[in-house]
Amino acid sequence: MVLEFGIQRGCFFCGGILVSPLSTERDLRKIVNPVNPARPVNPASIDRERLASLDLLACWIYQYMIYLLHITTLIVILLVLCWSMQLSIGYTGILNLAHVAFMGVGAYVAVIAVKSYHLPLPLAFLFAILSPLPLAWLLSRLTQKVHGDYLALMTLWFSFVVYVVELNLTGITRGPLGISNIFLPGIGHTPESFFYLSTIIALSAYFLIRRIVHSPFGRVMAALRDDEVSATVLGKNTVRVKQTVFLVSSMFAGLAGALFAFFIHFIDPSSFHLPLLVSVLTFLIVGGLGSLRATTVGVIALVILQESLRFFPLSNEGIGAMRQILYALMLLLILYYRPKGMLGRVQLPA
Amino acid sequence: MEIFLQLVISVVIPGILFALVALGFTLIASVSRFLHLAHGAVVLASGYCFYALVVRAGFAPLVAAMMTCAGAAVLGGVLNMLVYERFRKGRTLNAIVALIVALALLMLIENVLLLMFGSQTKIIPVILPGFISIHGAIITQQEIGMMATTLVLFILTQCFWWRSAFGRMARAVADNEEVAQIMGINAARIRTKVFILASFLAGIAGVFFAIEYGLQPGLTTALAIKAFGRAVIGGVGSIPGAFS
Repeated sequence: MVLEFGIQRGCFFCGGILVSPLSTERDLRKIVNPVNPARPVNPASIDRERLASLDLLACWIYQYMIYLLHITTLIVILLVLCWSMQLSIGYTGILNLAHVAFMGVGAYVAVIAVKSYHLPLPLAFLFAILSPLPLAWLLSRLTQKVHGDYLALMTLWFSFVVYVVELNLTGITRGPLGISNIFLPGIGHTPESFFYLSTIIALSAYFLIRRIVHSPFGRVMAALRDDEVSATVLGKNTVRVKQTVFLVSSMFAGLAGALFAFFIHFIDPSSFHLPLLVSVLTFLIVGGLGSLRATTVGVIALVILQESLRFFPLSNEGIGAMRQILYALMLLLILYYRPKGMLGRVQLPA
Repeated sequence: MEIFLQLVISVVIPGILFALVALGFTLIASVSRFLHLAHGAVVLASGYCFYALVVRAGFAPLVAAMMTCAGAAVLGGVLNMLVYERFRKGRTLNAIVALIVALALLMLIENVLLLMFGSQTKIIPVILPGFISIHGAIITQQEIGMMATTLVLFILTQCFWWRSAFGRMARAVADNEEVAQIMGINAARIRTKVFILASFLAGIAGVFFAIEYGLQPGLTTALAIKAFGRAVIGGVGSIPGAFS
């Protein structure tokens, strides 16, 4: 509430600064309607008109700030998702393409817990974090013996299976109709409080992931990425490490999914399918692998790039298509010219 | 009985189409050693090309089909030459990079088609009217034509792969690329030609898809998933496997 008040006053202030050069409007009006001494003009009415135009500008700036808040919240949620994916791709070398499917599971669980079972919000978030765990465990068992791109393919297929299950369990998930009318959590259901909530969650996730990475376990993960055989020879339990990484990254994915569901107010199985997967892969690869800072930069840069497409005169389906084309082109270009990404430290593992 | 036959027919027809796609896919996978996920996009692109030629430009269906297949072959060759070959460092290709590149290409082509043609389903008017009824189950003449063509294509490809000189070279590259190169086979050129052949098949599959089902941009992913699943189950690198 306080923030909202502050934003409004700030907008008026900015509007005032911008509008003052427009005092020439008053001069123009004097030329067009010269003052008639028989009908004296009330100075108060002119001031009210000027205040009205100020108000309009302030509203425009306020909308713009709401839009910026929206983008920033989206960036924060995507950051949680991408940091956890960086854990498994960049630090352990597991190209886990089912990450987005785990996000979808977390999203569905959170939303169903809140809407159908009316659980309190912290409990819903807890369930969302814990829900992808069985799937992640299953996936890690299935892919124990598999390496490299076959691992990637298996995870991709797994995500398709999850997609089809979500599509067909219409009793629970309402299938392709999706679940709509999801409210915004946070004090007072305002976008600002949700932004605060998601920022706090994202910061704690960042610190957690950073602790994981800069720890002995993180070093074992990096060893697995660089040379798995050597790691096994040196006595590290690679199977257990991979399993742990699957489980931990899926928990963060579930968290990101819950936040995403509340943010977008509508989820259906196709929002967690290939387009989001390619977008997230692009964020990661363009930003760079092997460094959390790299994904931060990558996510922010690409989301800004994607949102800048709004200002081009394209039809509705044109914008969606251009976004995907942009991502695909960026992926191809980065993979060709700078495979480490902008700030990354490693390339994609062979 | 009629229902059973109708069910069989309604399963066999898409099976034929996917078998065609899976055939090209296994050929590429066996020779190039990675999974060309954008194959489904080539199919869709050729379907849209056929639609554009027949409905928008008014060519006769047969001529349009031939032009589409030629175009699909060119597209496949171009894809290979421009994209995949460039990512090779020396002679080896990082398979994960290839996978992501293929995924990116899939999305790219699908969305370019979406931009060009819009998201409404495109339907092609019937080319061969009339149907045959077997015990009450209905097969249209179009479908019979498609089945026959696919069977012929499969037999031809089988002969080509196992009996011709080019087939021998392709099998050599699929078997052991380095030794094939030592024996004097230009592996890159063989790979491109196999891509062209597989994309030609994909072109025909796209034409059939357009005739049978109508075109939407979302089809690539569905096609990709199903066709590759069938290819993998049949066994990567075996033609009869792709057929089943």
